[in-house]
Amino acid sequence: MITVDARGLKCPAPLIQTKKALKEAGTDEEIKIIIDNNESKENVLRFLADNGVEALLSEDKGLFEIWIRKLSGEPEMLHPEDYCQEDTGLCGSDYVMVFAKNYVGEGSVALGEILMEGFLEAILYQEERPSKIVFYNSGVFLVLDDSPHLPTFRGMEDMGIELLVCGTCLKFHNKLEALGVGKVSNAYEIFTSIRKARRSIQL
Amino acid sequence: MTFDLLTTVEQGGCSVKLPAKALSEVLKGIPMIHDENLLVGTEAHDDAGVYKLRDDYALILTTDFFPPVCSDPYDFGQIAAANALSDVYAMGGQVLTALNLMMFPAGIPLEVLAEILKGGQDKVVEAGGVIAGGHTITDDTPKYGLAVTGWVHPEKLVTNAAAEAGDLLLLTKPIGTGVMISARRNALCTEKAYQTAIDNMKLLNKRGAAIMNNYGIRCATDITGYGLAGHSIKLAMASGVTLRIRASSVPVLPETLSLIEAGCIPGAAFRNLDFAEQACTMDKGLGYNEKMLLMDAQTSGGLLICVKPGDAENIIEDLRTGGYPSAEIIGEVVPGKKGIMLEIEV
Repeated sequence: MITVDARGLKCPAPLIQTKKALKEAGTDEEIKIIIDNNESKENVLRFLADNGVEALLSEDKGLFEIWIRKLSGEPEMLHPEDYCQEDTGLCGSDYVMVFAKNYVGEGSVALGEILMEGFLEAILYQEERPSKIVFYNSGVFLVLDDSPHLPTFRGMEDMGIELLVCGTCLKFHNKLEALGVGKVSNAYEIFTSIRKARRSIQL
Repeated sequence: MTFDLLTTVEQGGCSVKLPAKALSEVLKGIPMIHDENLLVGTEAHDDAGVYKLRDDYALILTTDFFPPVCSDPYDFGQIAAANALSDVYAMGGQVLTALNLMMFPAGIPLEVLAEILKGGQDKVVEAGGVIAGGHTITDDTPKYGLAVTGWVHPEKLVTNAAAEAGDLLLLTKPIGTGVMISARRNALCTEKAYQTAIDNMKLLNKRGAAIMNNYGIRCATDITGYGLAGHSIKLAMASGVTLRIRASSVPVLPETLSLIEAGCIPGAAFRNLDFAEQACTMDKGLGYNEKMLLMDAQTSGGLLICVKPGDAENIIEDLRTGGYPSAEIIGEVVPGKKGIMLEIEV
């Protein structure tokens, strides 16, 4: 195992040391990276994600430990569009709305589609609005440019609610260019958003 | 001068710019004020404001300042000034006056302050302008820049909103200054490569602007903190077109690709990637290092100029013999595609 102790180092020094360790490590060897500032941690994680290296993160009193394993051969270069960045921390995350489908509830889909409008309006009238809304699977249809709910979601975005839309889902339906509102995101970011929120709500 | 300015800061130059995303967010809540004489205001996200005084005379107003990007105070003064003056040139104008903006900590020798101001003045004089005054306050880290006034004939005004499909894209200076500044701080680059970056940052875009005027160019921008990708996207947005850039044609400073390979990627490049990737597509074959170089924040970068294909060869020739030997055609303008401002090819 290689330990990269990047405490006291600022960007890009921790990344430089991480890359050095990745080069020196043998196949399957574990690397532990210790970082003491958030920006460096985010950038190292982002770099690893971009290059297809799986990372495990733990945090203790502002000290971050990132565990990675060197895989055989060159890391696979994945498509950059599949990645997005963590939120910048400008808005606190109290709760996250999850739309995993384009209708509300189970049972009648037709009824579920009608209910959507009322529920979206209900979100707008809440004292406490979600900090983020995530969309995946058929949920992404809610934010395409032909969606009847587009003005509502645009309004939410103007209020500062972040809309994260699963890029793989858009691509699967060949709707990447039809996205009407929100930001193309990925599993990592969507899951991180849900995990970090105090609670998440799915209709 | 033995005092190393880089010891006073953690990041410098245009890489300290507030992220584009956050800035748009903040500006959303502030009402725009319209004035019929304001030819270019904040809504265009252009390089400078332009205010028409007469039908044949408009003022160009701009400011820029940042913490040290290099070790030597005289170099820093020149670079900060060249960077601030550049916005006038990006609008196709000429420099009239400049005011010094200086923040300086207690405890650093005052000769350092004098060297910075001397560097700034020398560049303003080279630009054909005059320093009309300034303002100095104490602050934790040094910061220096200028508030600049220039002028342009309104009919010769160059904006970022006039690109047309079919134009070729031309870049006058190599990119990679952000990587090089980081590399210098981490002692990774050679002295020679560092010096090349310093020389490029000191180089005024004055001659480039004059050449643009000769050819009746109407659309250009200068490449600074948002990187080549970010400024290309801003130009595409303002013009309602899509830009297509060939990464392999983009001029780069020596050693920068291998420095990125070594992990020397400044934080600002990640922030720029964040902004850029929402509006661009990239060839699958594009290497990670090449991609990150296009995201690198530039300090006092070159002009990105939209030229008619028939003029491209002559302009390139004029630029190369006029002090910009790295000038290169790096891509083209294509009709606007929904949601895609920039296509990056290998």
